Amino acid sequence: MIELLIHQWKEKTRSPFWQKSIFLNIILGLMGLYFIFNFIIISYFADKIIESLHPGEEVAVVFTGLLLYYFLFEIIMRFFIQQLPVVSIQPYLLLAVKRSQLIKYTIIKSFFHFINLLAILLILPFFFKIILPAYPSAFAYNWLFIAFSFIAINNLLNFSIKKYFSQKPWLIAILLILVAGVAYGGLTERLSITEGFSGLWMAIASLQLGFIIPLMLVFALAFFTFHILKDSFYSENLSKTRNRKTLEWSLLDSFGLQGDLLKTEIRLILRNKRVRNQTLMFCFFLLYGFIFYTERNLGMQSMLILTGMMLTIITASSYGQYFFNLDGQFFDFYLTTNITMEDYIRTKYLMFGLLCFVSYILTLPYALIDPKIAFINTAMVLWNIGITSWLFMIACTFNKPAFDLEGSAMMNYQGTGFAHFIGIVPAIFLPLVIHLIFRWAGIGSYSIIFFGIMGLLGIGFHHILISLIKAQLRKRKFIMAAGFRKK
Amino acid sequence: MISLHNLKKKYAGNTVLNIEQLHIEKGQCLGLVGNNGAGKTTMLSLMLDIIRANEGEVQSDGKPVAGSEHWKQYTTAYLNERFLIPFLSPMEFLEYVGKLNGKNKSDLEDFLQTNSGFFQEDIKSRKYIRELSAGNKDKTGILAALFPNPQVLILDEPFAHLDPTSQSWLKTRLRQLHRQGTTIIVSSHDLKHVTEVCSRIVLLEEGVIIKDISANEDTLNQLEEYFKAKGVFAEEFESGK
Repeated sequence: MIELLIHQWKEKTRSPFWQKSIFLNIILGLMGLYFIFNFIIISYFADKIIESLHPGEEVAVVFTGLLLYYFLFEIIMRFFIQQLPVVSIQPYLLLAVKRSQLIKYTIIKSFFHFINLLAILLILPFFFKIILPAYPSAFAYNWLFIAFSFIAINNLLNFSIKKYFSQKPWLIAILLILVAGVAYGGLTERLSITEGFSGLWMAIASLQLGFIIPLMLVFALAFFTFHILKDSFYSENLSKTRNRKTLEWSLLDSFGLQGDLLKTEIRLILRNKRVRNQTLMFCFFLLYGFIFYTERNLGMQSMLILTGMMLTIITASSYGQYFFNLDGQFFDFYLTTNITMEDYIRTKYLMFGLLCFVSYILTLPYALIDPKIAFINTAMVLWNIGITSWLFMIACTFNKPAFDLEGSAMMNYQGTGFAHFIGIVPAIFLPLVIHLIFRWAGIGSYSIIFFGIMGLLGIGFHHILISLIKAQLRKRKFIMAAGFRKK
Repeated sequence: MISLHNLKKKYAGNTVLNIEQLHIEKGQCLGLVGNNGAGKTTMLSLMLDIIRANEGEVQSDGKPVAGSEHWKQYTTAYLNERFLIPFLSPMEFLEYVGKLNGKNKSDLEDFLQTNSGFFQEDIKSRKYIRELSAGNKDKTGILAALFPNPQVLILDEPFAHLDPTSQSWLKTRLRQLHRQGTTIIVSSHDLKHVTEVCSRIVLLEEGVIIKDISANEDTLNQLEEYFKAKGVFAEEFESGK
């Protein structure tokens, strides 16, 4: 069991992703610390916050009730970000390790997750500050025990939810509606589930042996989880195959070779879980327009430019961030097959442009809020297709990890390299900087015309830019290919 | 057709390949043999310009391979999985490779008809390549390398994952291509396969050419003796390990 944990640790620290991108690890580490800090602060000052929101009520009772929201929210978050360590044990299935041992390991391993740490940090400071001094210690420790049990229950529930719900997306929709309903009921004070929840919690905590009830629940759930895992642990069940239909692409077929190249790019996006889900997820962000296009922002040109920039690139962003990395697993094929580099680059460029165009069309209705949105977004989509595309492409030639096509779409930084921070992030904010320079010169509004014209020039002279990228790829291809070959 | 001049490849200071001169004539079938780490795959990768040589160069048809694309028009290769697009079905992949080489759907049908001895239903199913077994992946890659009718064909360990029927089919097919004048470069651990197919055998050891012989009846024995003397049992090679 300990041996297995050591192997896992080695897998993490010996992966080139860990060793190479120290910079990314530092950023992720800082993000993690930020979250930890926030949770501790919220927990420690929860009494102050609650007193100001619900004056006169007992703080511990209100806090306990609010934890219901947190736990419900956590179930959903877990579904998206907590990867279950199931696949990593696949190589062990054939070894002389007991199957039940492996399953126990999988369950125990799942508890070592950042999200569990956050939950504990949300509870502990509050416990030490409020609960422990104010209540009899038996009650206090029972209370804490119930809280930890809830974390454990959520952690275990994730196994069942992943198993049953990922096959039936509508179940997730029902769960979301249920949670939203509870939140709505609580907030409008029509239905106070939280009071019942904290009442029950407090009642159990005041029993002498109250901790037995949640303990039994945890064990029952652990037992249940053990059994569903046992059923699904035959390696053939781990990777699923099914037959699917192929779409006919009569339109693309009429474009000759270029059509076929594009067809493969579209399939790259549609048939690989991570790119597909990220692209769909980013489409959801198109709704951000409703948040950004407010009365106040409509008066701020810089805000409109940044929003236009973001909205017209968003569907293309998961593709454009990883242009060549997406082909990382089969880059050698493109290096040796009978395709000219120009054709290869042009196809990537066209796909990016198409995705930007889709974004543009989808966000055009925002012009109903204010016609100038249409004007700005048109300039920005031209800029994105004509200029940002090339900046992204050059940045991507510096990105060496191959993109794991089959990974999860949420909170997955695999394949992100240093290039993202020096190339892609600045490229997104470049228009804003240009606009500010124009404004400083006293001709702020002309920056929009500048974006449009530059974009058109970039599109018009694309063959020159393609040969620039070609020269860059020539220089970098060995380093890129060597990076892609590493796992 | 292909020539290597003073070719050197180093990894972290260690020379893994060091070839002074090697000329492969047009229409020759060259078998590359050697133990693990002898530099076979490195040599093939250099011929395909997917790794950079530290010194020297590879020429194809009289022009350097590095930094040019002329050789792609008449060369096909299958070294490993990285030459396959994992999210396409085998048929889609073959069609795609065909399109890149100016072949249409009916060409593909004809091709599959004549080569039907090499694959089973799995190749025609809608499974994606990433879901295929190692053997079927290799079959897809080999078919994709054969389909464009190349003048130069480069295969790395093509027999390793194949079933016995496919192995002997491939040997027959390679001999047929050899008769038609295709330049073939094939590496293998399996001395028997290589000597059956190839007219010339190059033996690599620690990146250096130790033997360069034209194959005849006695070649297999000669090679087996050599490896036995190195403390390796020929039986192990024969089972393809």
